[in-house]
Amino acid sequence: MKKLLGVTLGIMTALGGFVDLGQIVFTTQAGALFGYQLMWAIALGTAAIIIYMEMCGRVAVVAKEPVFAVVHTRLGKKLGLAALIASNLLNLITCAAEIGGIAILLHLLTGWPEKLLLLATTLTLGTIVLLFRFQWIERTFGFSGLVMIVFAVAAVSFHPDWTQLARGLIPKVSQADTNHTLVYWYFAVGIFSAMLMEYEVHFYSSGALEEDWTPRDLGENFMVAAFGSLLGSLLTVALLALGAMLFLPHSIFPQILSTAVFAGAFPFAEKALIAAVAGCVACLAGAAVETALSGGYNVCQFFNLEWGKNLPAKSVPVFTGTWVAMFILAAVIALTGVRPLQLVNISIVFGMVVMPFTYYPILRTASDKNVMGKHVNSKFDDVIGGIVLVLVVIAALAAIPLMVVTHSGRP
Amino acid sequence: MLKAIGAFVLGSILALSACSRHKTLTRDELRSQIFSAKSLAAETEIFVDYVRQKRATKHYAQGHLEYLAEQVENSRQELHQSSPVQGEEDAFQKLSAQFDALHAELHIIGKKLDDVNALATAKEHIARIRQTLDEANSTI
Repeated sequence: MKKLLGVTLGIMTALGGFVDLGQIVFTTQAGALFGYQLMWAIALGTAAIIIYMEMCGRVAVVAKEPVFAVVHTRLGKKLGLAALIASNLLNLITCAAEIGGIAILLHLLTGWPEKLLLLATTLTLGTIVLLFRFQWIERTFGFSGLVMIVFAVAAVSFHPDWTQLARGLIPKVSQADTNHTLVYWYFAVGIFSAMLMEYEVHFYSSGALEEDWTPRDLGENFMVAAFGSLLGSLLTVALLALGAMLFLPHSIFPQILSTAVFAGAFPFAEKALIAAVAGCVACLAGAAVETALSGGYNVCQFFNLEWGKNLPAKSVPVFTGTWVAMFILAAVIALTGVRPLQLVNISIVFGMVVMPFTYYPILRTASDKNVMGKHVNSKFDDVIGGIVLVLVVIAALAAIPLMVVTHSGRP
Repeated sequence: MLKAIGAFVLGSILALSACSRHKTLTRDELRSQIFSAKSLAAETEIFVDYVRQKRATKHYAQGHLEYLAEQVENSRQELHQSSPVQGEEDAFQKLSAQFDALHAELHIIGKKLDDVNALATAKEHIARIRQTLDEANSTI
């Protein structure tokens, strides 16, 4: 039973991590433009996040060093601090986008004013984080996010072309013209980035320490990382397929959250629509909590201060103050009226740029026999981890130029 | 290293702000705007059917139409701040008029969600908007 409940860390991390606002709209758009052709980006992103999530969990458990302690050690104080500032700015932007997205979804559900719902959402999430122990936070958002399964059921009920879907696992390097080719690669980089968002590994490695994992739990670590990520990946495939089957034939390019959401309920009646909205609310709320808590974890781990959600809030003032500040600032940003999808576009693209500064130190530490002892990376882990890191660096270099030349993926 | 990162970020921000200020729509950008307008029209048509089949809650229908109207309004604003490249004035005018028409239809639909006949009429109007946009696209 303990092992079963432990899986919720992986589920919450993955659902809140890569089935968030950005992924819901971005992947549906990718399906609407390119059908199943970007399946390979989802498969690649899934493999990459499983590898690095497992590595982060293993490093945290064996070396007792979560991500930003590792970043500090490996990158040094100056570059590490730059990575910390960039990561927390991205966490803040993402948190603002998710809270804004939840307000939109609740407005669709209740008809109440969006700004009022935005404040209520921030207050509710802050209260949950303050009152609940870490394990209950992950269980609440992990299990409630499972309602998103309605998207997978909707996708299957449309009878996808499985052969075409399988063909999408092979990248198609060029499209009909240069513009389409650039947009295709923009979406490939975006999907890959959204699946590898840094805050997932910040949250996951901190979570492993919050749950007091020991080296005896390392088998569970792989299972949790793999199960959570595969579930998130399945839902991402469903979003892509819905875009391909519902929107592509009508030349619809979904530009707003409510369009992507109703795709998940399209073949069914009202209750499915409510379930689709509720599932999205749960995933976005999970992402908002992950980003806010990651803000606190990162600062404390970098400066070697005490942290922990299960410790009394007053005994970890910097940790508590940082995540509270993250929620408040995120709400302020969202209240300015900037649309959540604009924020999320920024966080996906700039998140890709910052990514190597997190993943490189993790790979280095996981490969260090002096630190990891018998739990050091195998040759195979090093090769695969190295290949993923090279891809991350290439995507990081390509992200901003692609965003500029494609006007953020405008078809 | 830090200076290089700073320069890169500053350069990116400048490049992005430069992009957001330009006023003349190239042919590709005009095509992209027409594609966006056609997409919004097609989506509205599908959603009208969805509402007619009573599969959306009232709050969802109203909210979604509000967001669609907001998106159309944003595109209209963007278009009003631009001018077409020489020779594409006609397509530009047609696009602008169809954005206005779509915006008006979305408001009508939002007020008549329970009126099946009004929804059917609105759907016909939107189909015509889409057809006009197709014609505009073919002239570019």
